[in-house]
Amino acid sequence: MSRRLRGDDGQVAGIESVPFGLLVLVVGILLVAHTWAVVDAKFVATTAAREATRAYVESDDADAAQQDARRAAADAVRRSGRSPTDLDLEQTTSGFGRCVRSRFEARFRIPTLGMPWRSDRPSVTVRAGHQEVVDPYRDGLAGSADCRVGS
Amino acid sequence: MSRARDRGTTLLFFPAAFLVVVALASVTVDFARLHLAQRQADDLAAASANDAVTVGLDEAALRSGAGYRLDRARVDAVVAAHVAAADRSTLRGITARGSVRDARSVDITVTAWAPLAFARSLPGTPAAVTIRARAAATARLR
Repeated sequence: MSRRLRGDDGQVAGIESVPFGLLVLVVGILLVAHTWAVVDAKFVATTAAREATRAYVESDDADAAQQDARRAAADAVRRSGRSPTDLDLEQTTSGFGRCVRSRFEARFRIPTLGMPWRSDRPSVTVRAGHQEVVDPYRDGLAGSADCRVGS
Repeated sequence: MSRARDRGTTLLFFPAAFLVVVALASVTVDFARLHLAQRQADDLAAASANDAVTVGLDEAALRSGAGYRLDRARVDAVVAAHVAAADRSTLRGITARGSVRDARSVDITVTAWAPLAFARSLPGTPAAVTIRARAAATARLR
Protein backbone atom coordinates (compact mmCIF):
# COMPACT_ATOMS: atom_id res chain seq x y z
CA MET A 1 0.00 0.00 0.00
CA SER A 2 1.35 3.41 -0.84
CA ARG A 3 2.06 5.96 1.76
CA ARG A 4 -0.78 8.27 0.60
CA LEU A 5 -3.55 5.79 1.41
CA ARG A 6 -2.33 5.19 4.90
CA GLY A 7 -4.47 6.77 7.59
CA ASP A 8 -8.06 8.14 7.60
CA ASP A 9 -7.21 11.82 7.89
CA GLY A 10 -10.01 13.99 6.44
CA GLN A 11 -11.98 11.05 5.10
CA VAL A 12 -15.20 11.62 7.09
CA ALA A 13 -15.55 15.21 6.02
CA GLY A 14 -14.98 14.32 2.37
CA ILE A 15 -17.41 11.43 2.25
CA GLU A 16 -20.34 13.26 3.80
CA SER A 17 -19.97 16.31 1.57
CA VAL A 18 -19.93 14.45 -1.75
CA PRO A 19 -23.53 13.07 -1.70
CA PHE A 20 -24.79 16.34 -0.26
CA GLY A 21 -23.04 18.30 -2.97
CA LEU A 22 -24.40 16.00 -5.67
CA LEU A 23 -27.91 16.32 -4.28
CA VAL A 24 -27.73 20.11 -4.31
CA LEU A 25 -26.30 20.03 -7.84
CA VAL A 26 -29.02 17.77 -9.24
CA VAL A 27 -31.87 19.64 -7.54
CA GLY A 28 -30.43 22.99 -8.65
CA ILE A 29 -30.08 21.89 -12.26
CA LEU A 30 -33.63 20.46 -12.27
CA LEU A 31 -35.01 23.68 -10.82
CA VAL A 32 -33.28 25.87 -13.40
CA ALA A 33 -34.26 23.50 -16.25
CA HIS A 34 -37.90 23.55 -15.16
CA THR A 35 -37.93 27.34 -14.89
CA TRP A 36 -36.42 27.56 -18.36
CA ALA A 37 -39.10 25.20 -19.73
CA VAL A 38 -41.82 27.50 -18.37
CA VAL A 39 -40.19 30.61 -19.85
CA ASP A 40 -39.72 28.88 -23.20
CA ALA A 41 -43.36 27.74 -23.24
CA LYS A 42 -44.45 31.29 -22.47
CA PHE A 43 -42.54 32.50 -25.53
CA VAL A 44 -44.31 29.96 -27.72
CA ALA A 45 -47.73 30.68 -26.21
CA THR A 46 -47.27 34.42 -26.78
CA THR A 47 -46.32 33.85 -30.41
CA ALA A 48 -49.16 31.38 -31.00
CA ALA A 49 -51.79 33.72 -29.55
CA ARG A 50 -50.52 36.66 -31.58
CA GLU A 51 -50.33 34.72 -34.85
CA ALA A 52 -53.79 33.22 -34.33
CA THR A 53 -55.34 36.63 -33.67
CA ARG A 54 -53.63 38.25 -36.65
CA ALA A 55 -54.75 35.45 -38.96
CA TYR A 56 -58.30 35.68 -37.59
CA VAL A 57 -58.75 39.42 -38.09
CA GLU A 58 -57.29 39.30 -41.61
CA SER A 59 -59.51 36.46 -42.86
CA ASP A 60 -62.33 36.93 -45.31
CA ASP A 61 -65.16 35.17 -43.47
CA ALA A 62 -65.98 33.60 -40.12
CA ASP A 63 -65.43 29.95 -41.10
CA ALA A 64 -62.12 30.63 -42.78
CA ALA A 65 -61.10 32.84 -39.87
CA GLN A 66 -61.32 30.00 -37.35
CA GLN A 67 -59.33 27.68 -39.58
CA ASP A 68 -56.75 30.34 -40.41
CA ALA A 69 -56.28 31.15 -36.73
CA ARG A 70 -55.71 27.51 -35.76
CA ARG A 71 -53.40 26.93 -38.69
CA ALA A 72 -51.35 30.03 -37.91
CA ALA A 73 -51.03 29.05 -34.24
CA ALA A 74 -50.03 25.48 -35.15
CA ASP A 75 -47.42 26.77 -37.60
CA ALA A 76 -45.98 29.08 -34.97
CA VAL A 77 -45.75 26.23 -32.47
CA ARG A 78 -44.19 23.92 -35.04
CA ARG A 79 -41.58 26.54 -35.93
CA SER A 80 -40.51 26.66 -32.29
CA GLY A 81 -39.84 22.92 -32.30
CA ARG A 82 -42.86 21.89 -30.25
CA SER A 83 -45.83 19.77 -31.17
CA PRO A 84 -49.10 21.61 -31.94
CA THR A 85 -50.97 18.85 -30.08
CA ASP A 86 -49.64 20.31 -26.81
CA LEU A 87 -51.29 23.65 -27.61
CA ASP A 88 -54.73 24.52 -26.31
CA LEU A 89 -56.03 27.49 -28.31
CA GLU A 90 -59.23 29.20 -27.23
CA GLN A 91 -61.05 32.17 -28.67
CA THR A 92 -62.34 34.16 -25.72
CA THR A 93 -64.48 36.49 -27.84
CA SER A 94 -67.13 35.65 -30.40
CA GLY A 95 -68.26 36.92 -33.75
CA PHE A 96 -66.58 38.05 -36.91
CA GLY A 97 -67.14 41.26 -38.78
CA ARG A 98 -66.03 44.82 -39.13
CA CYS A 99 -64.73 46.28 -35.90
CA VAL A 100 -65.28 43.07 -33.93
CA ARG A 101 -62.74 42.66 -31.16
CA SER A 102 -61.08 39.27 -31.27
CA ARG A 103 -58.99 37.68 -28.55
CA PHE A 104 -57.20 34.34 -28.53
CA GLU A 105 -55.64 32.62 -25.57
CA ALA A 106 -52.95 29.98 -26.01
CA ARG A 107 -52.20 27.51 -23.22
CA PHE A 108 -49.45 24.96 -22.71
CA ARG A 109 -49.27 22.33 -19.98
CA ILE A 110 -45.75 21.90 -18.65
CA PRO A 111 -45.23 18.77 -16.51
CA THR A 112 -43.46 19.59 -13.26
CA LEU A 113 -40.92 17.41 -11.55
CA GLY A 114 -42.52 14.15 -10.47
CA MET A 115 -42.03 12.70 -7.01
CA PRO A 116 -41.43 8.95 -6.67
CA TRP A 117 -44.15 8.57 -4.03
CA ARG A 118 -46.80 10.41 -6.08
CA SER A 119 -48.53 8.59 -8.89
CA ASP A 120 -49.95 11.75 -10.50
CA ARG A 121 -47.79 14.15 -12.46
CA PRO A 122 -48.50 17.74 -11.44
CA SER A 123 -48.24 20.37 -14.14
CA VAL A 124 -48.04 24.09 -14.66
CA THR A 125 -50.27 25.75 -17.23
CA VAL A 126 -48.60 28.55 -19.14
CA ARG A 127 -50.95 30.92 -20.92
CA ALA A 128 -50.75 34.01 -23.09
CA GLY A 129 -53.37 36.11 -24.83
CA HIS A 130 -53.56 38.61 -27.63
CA GLN A 131 -56.35 40.77 -28.96
CA GLU A 132 -56.96 42.81 -32.08
CA VAL A 133 -59.85 44.41 -33.91
CA VAL A 134 -61.02 43.46 -37.40
CA ASP A 135 -60.24 46.47 -39.58
CA PRO A 136 -63.58 48.31 -39.93
CA TYR A 137 -62.78 49.78 -43.31
CA ARG A 138 -61.07 46.90 -45.09
CA ASP A 139 -62.38 45.41 -48.30
CA GLY A 140 -63.68 41.87 -48.71
CA LEU A 141 -66.14 41.99 -45.81
CA ALA A 142 -69.88 42.42 -45.90
CA GLY A 143 -71.74 44.87 -43.69
CA SER A 144 -71.04 48.36 -42.49
CA ALA A 145 -68.58 49.55 -39.87
CA ASP A 146 -70.06 50.55 -36.56
CA CYS A 147 -67.23 50.93 -34.09
CA ARG A 148 -68.22 51.68 -30.54
CA VAL A 149 -64.88 52.36 -28.94
CA GLY A 150 -64.48 51.55 -25.30
CA SER A 151 -67.21 48.91 -25.30
CA MET B 1 3.20 25.48 -1.93
CA SER B 2 3.59 21.80 -1.13
CA ARG B 3 1.17 19.19 -2.43
CA ALA B 4 0.26 18.12 1.07
CA ARG B 5 -1.07 21.59 1.81
CA ASP B 6 -3.41 21.50 -1.24
CA ARG B 7 -5.40 18.56 0.05
CA GLY B 8 -9.12 19.27 0.42
CA THR B 9 -9.15 22.40 -1.70
CA THR B 10 -11.64 20.74 -4.10
CA LEU B 11 -14.11 20.66 -1.24
CA LEU B 12 -13.92 24.42 -1.07
CA PHE B 13 -13.91 24.94 -4.82
CA PHE B 14 -17.02 22.86 -5.45
CA PRO B 15 -19.56 25.00 -3.56
CA ALA B 16 -18.02 28.18 -4.96
CA ALA B 17 -18.13 26.87 -8.52
CA PHE B 18 -21.65 25.57 -8.04
CA LEU B 19 -22.82 28.93 -6.74
CA VAL B 20 -21.36 30.60 -9.82
CA VAL B 21 -23.15 28.11 -12.12
CA VAL B 22 -26.49 28.62 -10.36
CA ALA B 23 -26.07 32.41 -10.42
CA LEU B 24 -25.29 32.39 -14.15
CA ALA B 25 -28.22 30.06 -14.91
CA SER B 26 -30.55 32.30 -12.90
CA VAL B 27 -29.37 35.40 -14.71
CA THR B 28 -29.95 33.60 -18.01
CA VAL B 29 -33.54 32.79 -17.04
CA ASP B 30 -34.13 36.37 -15.93
CA PHE B 31 -32.73 37.81 -19.13
CA ALA B 32 -34.97 35.47 -21.12
CA ARG B 33 -37.96 36.75 -19.14
CA LEU B 34 -36.93 40.33 -19.85
CA HIS B 35 -36.71 39.49 -23.53
CA LEU B 36 -40.20 37.97 -23.32
CA ALA B 37 -41.51 41.08 -21.55
CA GLN B 38 -39.99 43.30 -24.24
CA ARG B 39 -41.62 41.22 -26.96
CA GLN B 40 -45.00 41.37 -25.23
CA ALA B 41 -44.68 45.15 -24.92
CA ASP B 42 -43.75 45.35 -28.61
CA ASP B 43 -46.79 43.22 -29.52
CA LEU B 44 -49.04 45.39 -27.37
CA ALA B 45 -47.75 48.60 -28.94
CA ALA B 46 -48.01 47.23 -32.48
CA ALA B 47 -51.54 45.87 -32.01
CA SER B 48 -52.67 49.14 -30.37
CA ALA B 49 -51.22 51.23 -33.20
CA ASN B 50 -52.68 48.96 -35.85
CA ASP B 51 -56.17 49.19 -34.36
CA ALA B 52 -55.99 52.86 -33.38
CA VAL B 53 -55.15 54.02 -36.89
CA THR B 54 -58.35 52.53 -38.30
CA VAL B 55 -60.84 52.46 -35.42
CA GLY B 56 -59.70 55.96 -34.47
CA LEU B 57 -61.04 57.44 -37.70
CA ASP B 58 -63.25 60.47 -37.23
CA GLU B 59 -66.17 59.30 -39.37
CA ALA B 60 -68.07 62.56 -39.12
CA ALA B 61 -65.09 64.44 -40.52
CA LEU B 62 -64.71 61.93 -43.33
CA ARG B 63 -68.38 62.16 -44.28
CA SER B 64 -68.29 65.96 -44.18
CA GLY B 65 -65.49 65.93 -46.73
CA ALA B 66 -62.59 66.74 -44.41
CA GLY B 67 -60.81 63.54 -45.41
CA TYR B 68 -59.22 60.85 -43.28
CA ARG B 69 -58.62 62.33 -39.87
CA LEU B 70 -57.98 60.56 -36.60
CA ASP B 71 -60.04 61.40 -33.55
CA ARG B 72 -57.82 61.77 -30.50
CA ALA B 73 -60.48 60.53 -28.08
CA ARG B 74 -61.15 57.42 -30.14
CA VAL B 75 -57.44 56.65 -30.41
CA ASP B 76 -57.09 56.95 -26.63
CA ALA B 77 -60.09 54.65 -26.11
CA VAL B 78 -58.64 51.99 -28.41
CA VAL B 79 -55.29 52.12 -26.63
CA ALA B 80 -56.98 51.95 -23.23
CA ALA B 81 -58.94 48.86 -24.30
CA HIS B 82 -55.70 47.15 -25.34
CA VAL B 83 -54.01 47.98 -22.06
CA ALA B 84 -57.01 46.68 -20.11
CA ALA B 85 -56.86 43.35 -21.93
CA ALA B 86 -53.07 42.97 -21.80
CA ASP B 87 -51.43 39.90 -20.32
CA ARG B 88 -50.08 40.91 -16.91
CA SER B 89 -48.22 37.74 -15.98
CA THR B 90 -44.93 39.09 -17.30
CA LEU B 91 -45.59 42.81 -17.65
CA ARG B 92 -46.68 44.86 -14.66
CA GLY B 93 -47.85 48.44 -14.29
CA ILE B 94 -48.64 48.81 -17.96
CA THR B 95 -49.34 52.31 -19.26
CA ALA B 96 -49.70 53.32 -22.89
CA ARG B 97 -49.90 56.68 -24.54
CA GLY B 98 -51.15 57.27 -28.04
CA SER B 99 -50.29 60.43 -29.93
CA VAL B 100 -51.76 61.43 -33.25
CA ARG B 101 -48.74 62.42 -35.35
CA ASP B 102 -50.70 63.69 -38.32
CA ALA B 103 -54.14 63.09 -39.81
CA ARG B 104 -53.38 59.44 -40.63
CA SER B 105 -50.59 58.38 -38.29
CA VAL B 106 -50.37 57.38 -34.66
CA ASP B 107 -47.46 56.72 -32.34
CA ILE B 108 -48.00 54.39 -29.40
CA THR B 109 -45.61 54.26 -26.47
CA VAL B 110 -45.97 51.45 -23.95
CA THR B 111 -44.22 51.57 -20.60
CA ALA B 112 -44.26 48.76 -18.07
CA TRP B 113 -41.97 46.98 -15.67
CA ALA B 114 -40.94 43.37 -15.44
CA PRO B 115 -39.91 41.82 -12.14
CA LEU B 116 -36.70 39.82 -11.91
CA ALA B 117 -37.17 36.41 -10.35
CA PHE B 118 -33.62 35.37 -9.43
CA ALA B 119 -31.17 38.10 -10.32
CA ARG B 120 -32.54 40.47 -7.69
CA SER B 121 -30.99 38.27 -5.02
CA LEU B 122 -27.58 39.25 -6.38
CA PRO B 123 -26.15 42.37 -4.77
CA GLY B 124 -26.59 45.57 -6.74
CA THR B 125 -29.31 44.21 -9.02
CA PRO B 126 -32.72 45.97 -9.15
CA ALA B 127 -35.91 44.07 -8.33
CA ALA B 128 -37.53 45.06 -11.62
CA VAL B 129 -36.60 46.49 -14.98
CA THR B 130 -38.50 49.14 -16.91
CA ILE B 131 -39.70 48.03 -20.33
CA ARG B 132 -40.48 50.52 -23.11
CA ALA B 133 -41.90 49.80 -26.52
CA ARG B 134 -42.94 52.06 -29.34
CA ALA B 135 -44.93 51.45 -32.49
CA ALA B 136 -46.26 53.65 -35.24
CA ALA B 137 -48.95 53.06 -37.82
CA THR B 138 -50.12 55.02 -40.83
CA ALA B 139 -53.41 54.50 -42.66
CA ARG B 140 -53.01 54.12 -46.40
CA LEU B 141 -56.13 54.66 -48.45
CA ARG B 142 -56.63 52.42 -51.46
